[in-house]
Amino acid sequence: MGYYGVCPREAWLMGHALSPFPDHELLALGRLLQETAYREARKEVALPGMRLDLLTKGKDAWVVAEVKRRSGQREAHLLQLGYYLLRLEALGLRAQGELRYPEERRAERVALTPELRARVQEAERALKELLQRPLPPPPKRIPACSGCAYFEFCFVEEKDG
Amino acid sequence: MAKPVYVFSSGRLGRRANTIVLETEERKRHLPVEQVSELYLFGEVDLNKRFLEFVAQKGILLHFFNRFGYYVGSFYPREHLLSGYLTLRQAEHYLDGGKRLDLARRFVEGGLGNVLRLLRREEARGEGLEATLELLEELLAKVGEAQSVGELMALEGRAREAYYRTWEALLGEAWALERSRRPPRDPINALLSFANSLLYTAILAQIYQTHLDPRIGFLHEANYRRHSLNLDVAEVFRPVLADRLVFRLVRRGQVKPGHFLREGEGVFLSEAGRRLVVEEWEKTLQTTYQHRALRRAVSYRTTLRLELYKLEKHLIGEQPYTPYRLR
Repeated sequence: MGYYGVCPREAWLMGHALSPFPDHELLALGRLLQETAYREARKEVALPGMRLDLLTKGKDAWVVAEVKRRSGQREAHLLQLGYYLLRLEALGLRAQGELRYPEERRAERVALTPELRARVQEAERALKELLQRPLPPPPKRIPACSGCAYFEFCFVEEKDG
Repeated sequence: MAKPVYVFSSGRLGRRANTIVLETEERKRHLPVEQVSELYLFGEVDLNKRFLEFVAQKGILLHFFNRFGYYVGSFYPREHLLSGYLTLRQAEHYLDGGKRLDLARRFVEGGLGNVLRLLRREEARGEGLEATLELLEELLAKVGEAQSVGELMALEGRAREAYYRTWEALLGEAWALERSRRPPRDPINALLSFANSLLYTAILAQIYQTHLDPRIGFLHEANYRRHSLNLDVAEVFRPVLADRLVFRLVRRGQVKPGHFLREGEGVFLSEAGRRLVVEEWEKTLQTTYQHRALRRAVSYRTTLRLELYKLEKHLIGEQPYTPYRLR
């Protein structure tokens, strides 16, 4: 879901288990962040169809957090988190969301507003449709490409000359 | 960044916490596991299952060579990148005769095309290769008409023979090449076999970083050898990387008679000879150039992986595979 918000091609590739180059520097950084940030909290909680970065017990509800390095793709992170909140609600769990950017020392509360709910549902529908397609959407150069572990896969071709 | 480590000495390989330890009679060598992508084992090395489990968990490949420097085989840890989707596409392209032939043709065309480009450059130095060039062009033209993988292999074999016959003119009488493999009967065969096995294992290591199954080749029969996809891809890169490595080593006078040992019918590289070739080979793979499509500097090692990406894109039906062109 988070991938869909950034790049539909990436979402298609991920959806077909074509995971990116594992030795990519930024992927390694992400893993490191995952391991080192918020050591005290419950982490990496796996529920059917989702893996939550962080789950803590708040005052009157669970708090689900999505941990990222940079807030540049905040919209995509929001969709991802909204998706978790929707799924937890369906499981009968009351939860609140939080976007966390430890390197930026920032955390932001996210509630499942009707607006976010509608956006997540729309993205879910579009994603399902996308994954049905026989081919991934063609690569398109966007700013996110420069740091993407799929960059070489997407843009490699043999040019004449 | 993880790199291959070449081990020439004999001793014991073990695990101490998160470190690979090579214990020889003289010393202990510690290799942080995060910095190792592959281990090339040339010496007599003892290791145990605990060690294999450790390297498997870390996704490190082991390549074994016997005391003559012959490639024996690889320990290829269980696939860590799996895409059922891509595996099915790869199998489909093997099972469907038309699709398989199409891919096999592309590998032969790529390899032959690169041999031609290499020889044309040599021709520019005035080596008198017109007849061979003509024959190779003729054979290349026939690749499109070949009706079976067997025909392709035969074409490829004829082309290779003609190409190898030029080595005497290119490298001098002492390095005239008539191919003999098991065992290599002279220094040039020993050198070329060793360079080729380094190429095969380097490609295998890159296949491990993708979703491709190394057992399913298209030109080289699956099951004929345990790994065959790397042989297909090597077809394209042998002239580019292995042959040119041999040319450089010979022309610079880096390989010397002392680098070879004779044993019975065979001729083998000595340890010093192997060290020399491996060192130059690593330099080759780490050499970078500006990639036209990516508009980024890439190394030849990365180039091998890029080739596999192009193949993946062919298999999922996104873009027909065009082999790497020697430049």
